[in-house]
Amino acid sequence: MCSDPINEKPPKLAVLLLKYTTPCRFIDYLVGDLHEEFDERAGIDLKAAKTWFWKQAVNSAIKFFNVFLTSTRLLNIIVLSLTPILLCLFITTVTWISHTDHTAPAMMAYLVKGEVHHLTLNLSVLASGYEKLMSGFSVDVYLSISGFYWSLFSFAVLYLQDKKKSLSAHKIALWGYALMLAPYCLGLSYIKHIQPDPINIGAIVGFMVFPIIYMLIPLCLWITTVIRKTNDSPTGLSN
Amino acid sequence: MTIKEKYLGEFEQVVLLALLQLAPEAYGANVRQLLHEKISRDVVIGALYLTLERLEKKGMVSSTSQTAIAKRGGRPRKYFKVTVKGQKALKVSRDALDTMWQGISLAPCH
Repeated sequence: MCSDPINEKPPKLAVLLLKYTTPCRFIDYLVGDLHEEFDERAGIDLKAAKTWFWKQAVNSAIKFFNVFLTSTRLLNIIVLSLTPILLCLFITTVTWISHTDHTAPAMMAYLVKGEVHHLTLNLSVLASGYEKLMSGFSVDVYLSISGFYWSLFSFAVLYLQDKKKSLSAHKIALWGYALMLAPYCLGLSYIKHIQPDPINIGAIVGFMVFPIIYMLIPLCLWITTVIRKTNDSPTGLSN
Repeated sequence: MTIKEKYLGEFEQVVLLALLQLAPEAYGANVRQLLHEKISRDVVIGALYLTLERLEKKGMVSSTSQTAIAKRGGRPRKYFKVTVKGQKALKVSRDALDTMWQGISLAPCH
């Protein structure tokens, strides 16, 4: 028995896909439009109409997902959640490094190789660093001239670029985090290839790590401010 | 008007022209169909809504929502209208293209 194409409804799964991927402000109008066109197409060829509906649903979902990936909303969430986490991890690690007494040879081996990221993800290092941080806080431990100058240089570069052509939040994030992580990558590569005397490792590690600590909060504030301004502007558009 | 707002993208121009042709009854489904019929462009409805939203944010399009319609699964229609700003932007884009086309003769297509 043939079904009546007039009473056919669009594929439920495709509608469900649209419901979960389409922004709330569009959903009713968009599904309504597709439903209307589906009815017209179903009158001619039901199977083709269903295929067409699926094609529209999947392509729209991909489009909306791409937009979400490049949205300032996602960037805002990432920046606001990563900044405090990274800051806590690196401050605790630096505290551990500055108070360490060679009693953790495995961790020291990482430090000598400049692989601080292994330390920041190590629970015993973090626990010990936290304990030391709580037992006495000294600002001197977190001061690094080279790290400070690099951070200053990075912000100067970003500021000049922003002045030249107003940078979008994404570009500030991209360039800012690249400049923030550049000393780390350079230091890591330098230690790996040059293999300097372990006595000199401390200064190199300082140059690698401190720009991260110095730049995280100002970058977060800058990016979130630009996002807020973009969202407040009448066009809601940025470069 | 900033440079970014002054010049329209190719798809934005096509959508605005479709809205003008369908006025005052321009909404997502018939804009999509018109683009398919007239320029054989099979537009993804999601892309069309994103473009319409962008144009609305730029002030080139305004929209009104109408009550739910049974044949659309009980969902409403959203009608779009090109604003004066949108018409001006279209004219600027057309003038720019006309200027660029002046004195150009392409080889005949076989």
